[in-house]
Amino acid sequence: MFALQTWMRRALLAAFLLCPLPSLADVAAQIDEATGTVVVTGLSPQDMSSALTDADAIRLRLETSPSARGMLISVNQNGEDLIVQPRFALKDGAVYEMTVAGKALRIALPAPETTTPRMVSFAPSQAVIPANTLRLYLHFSEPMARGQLREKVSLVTADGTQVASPFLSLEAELWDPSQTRATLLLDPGRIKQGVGPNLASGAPLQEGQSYRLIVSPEMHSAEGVPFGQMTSIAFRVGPPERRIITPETWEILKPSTGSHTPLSIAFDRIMDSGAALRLITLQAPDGQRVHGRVTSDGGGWSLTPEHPWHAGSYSIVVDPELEDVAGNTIGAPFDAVVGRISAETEPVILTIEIRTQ
Amino acid sequence: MSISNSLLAASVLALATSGAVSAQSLSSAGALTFDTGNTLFVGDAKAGLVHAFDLTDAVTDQADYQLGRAQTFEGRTIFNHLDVEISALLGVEAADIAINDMVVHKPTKQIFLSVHRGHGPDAEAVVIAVNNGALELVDLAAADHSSMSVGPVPTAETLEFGQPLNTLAITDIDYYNGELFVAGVSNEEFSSKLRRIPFPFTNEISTSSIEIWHAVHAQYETRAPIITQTIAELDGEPTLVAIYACTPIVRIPLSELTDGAEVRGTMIGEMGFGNTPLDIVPYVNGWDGTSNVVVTNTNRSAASINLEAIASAEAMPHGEGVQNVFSVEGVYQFPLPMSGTLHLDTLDDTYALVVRHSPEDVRNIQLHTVPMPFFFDRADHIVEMNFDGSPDPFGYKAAPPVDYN
Repeated sequence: MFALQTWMRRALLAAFLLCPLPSLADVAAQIDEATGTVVVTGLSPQDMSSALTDADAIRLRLETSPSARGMLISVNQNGEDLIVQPRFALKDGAVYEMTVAGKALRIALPAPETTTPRMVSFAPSQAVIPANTLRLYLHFSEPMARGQLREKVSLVTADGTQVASPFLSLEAELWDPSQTRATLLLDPGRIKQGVGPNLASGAPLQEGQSYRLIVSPEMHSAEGVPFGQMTSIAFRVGPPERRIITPETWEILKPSTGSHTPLSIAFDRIMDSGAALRLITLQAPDGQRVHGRVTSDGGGWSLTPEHPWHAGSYSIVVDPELEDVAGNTIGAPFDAVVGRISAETEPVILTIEIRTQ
Repeated sequence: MSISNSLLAASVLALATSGAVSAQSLSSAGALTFDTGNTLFVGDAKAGLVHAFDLTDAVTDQADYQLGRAQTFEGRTIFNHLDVEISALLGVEAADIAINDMVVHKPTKQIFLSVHRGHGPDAEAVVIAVNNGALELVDLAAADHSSMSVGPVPTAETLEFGQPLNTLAITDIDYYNGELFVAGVSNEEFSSKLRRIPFPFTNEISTSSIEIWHAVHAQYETRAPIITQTIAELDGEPTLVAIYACTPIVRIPLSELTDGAEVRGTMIGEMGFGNTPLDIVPYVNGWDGTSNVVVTNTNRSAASINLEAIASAEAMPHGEGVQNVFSVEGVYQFPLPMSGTLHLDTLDDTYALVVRHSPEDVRNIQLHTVPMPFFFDRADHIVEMNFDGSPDPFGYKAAPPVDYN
């Protein structure tokens, strides 16, 4: 009796090892990194058939999602494998769960290599900026995520007091296409003279005071990597700038012919550096645009030419949309006396002679 | 009389393409609007384009979908946790998506949402439709498509120095009588640029830089971007009713927005400081037949403004000796019990539709209908008539619970 039982046990074990039941076959899911598809192996013909015909028979979802809803997928068969094509690429570093044939399969995607972002520069970069500064630029080392400026950027006074709502709250944040530069508009209602917000709360920046712009350690890149440490930019505030831009008063440092020395302009104020780079151009004596490396820190503008300078009349072309950091333009100051806003649409042209020395 | 100075700048040549293109042509998806037919316009700030998609084959009639019970001031929550549900469809976490705008296709009452999957420069832009309570991805590749450039047009010179940095955040798009009116905020210039574009797109666009006068500060005028706008007929005259940054309400007859004309826009009200308007949507009060606009705000409750009042409003006083205005002023604004609103449109004559923070749990983003004309949903509020055992003078509690389909 005992011998028989042993024999039976062995036989059953052998049968189990040699002929696994279909339902006990390993159903597995693996991501094919080349195509972004999920390959499901080991499905029975019935489960394959229902996965191909019944939308509810298969579901792919983020493991941590509070919703039972599956993501958009399409399915097809490749030999004995089921190929699941997500409509949107699965996210690197995330864990998905595929439910098929009554099983929940875990699909973990490797985490991407990421770089910790940091702030690389700030404009205006001058130590003292006008009290009615309208626009600040933050430059980052990595593309950043939209939708966090309101919470993660703040302005504090020298004694650490937070300035209440200094920035214009717009539904759409202002980023460049690469999302490495953010534009912050200081609330124009608090900059304009005589406006209720200005009178009630005061301008966000007070002349003679020192401030720090604080970027939270939680400010994160598009990849989701946070700064990790607080970043702070200190500046002082000088008198407001309310004059129109007068290019005629700029100091121009002329190069000599045959050289690659930059042609430089020193402004009489802090210009918007983004606008200055884009809206000031140089024309050669033959009317062609002079190409080269253009830089501006807002305090000045310079162009280092690709080719040496020739003798003759060059034209600095200043687009009428050029603004200084306080929003003043060539046509009108940011705050114009009633009826004085000008409809300036023509560029201002400054002619300079470059001579042989 | 307020003086506003406008320069309708030179026409800017723009790119117009037509024919079916892949959905990848949508670099970003922001402001949405429909024409009076089936064409959906999508503001694509990243590409500097307005797209037009003919959704004739995609729109589905929603007439049988119950929207609420207006008789008892009850709206319907179409979705709780709308952000979670959309993100599940897209296979990411709710924190990874942004719901940028919402519009209703009026002939079918179908709801469309512009959504970004991701927050980075490579975020994928999609349009999601609500079809009788189900979320669906709109197959834009199947729709006839055309587009028009509205952003800074890259030239050979700007491209030489790499990707241009300046962009236009499209804040609003409105369609009126064969034309689109596109408002935006530049990241490098603080000016009001209103673009007027004929549709179907030709190769022309006129760009107005409307510099407006602010009555609140009595002595100075400045330029400012339009945040939200609508076009309404005031005494039969098509008029742009716009709310600017920091926050005057201005009316400008469309007839004055001609190329090269000097416009005298009239500031007729002030929305009050410390607040940004979100949407301005026209509606008709079904109870008294009046035409109005409803304005939703970030930091104040919504307000209703009567169109006749807008038409007849005097310009706000200005000049020497005028006292500054600190708060809501000018044309009468009727406060509405609606806050936490993220996006607003009307569904029909009876119901408005909002994407909002739930009044009970701000973490819950709802897609919810609100009975008009009071934009009042009884369930949102602590009112005595909701309490057990309290009087029920209007028979609200006696009404059976709504059995939604």
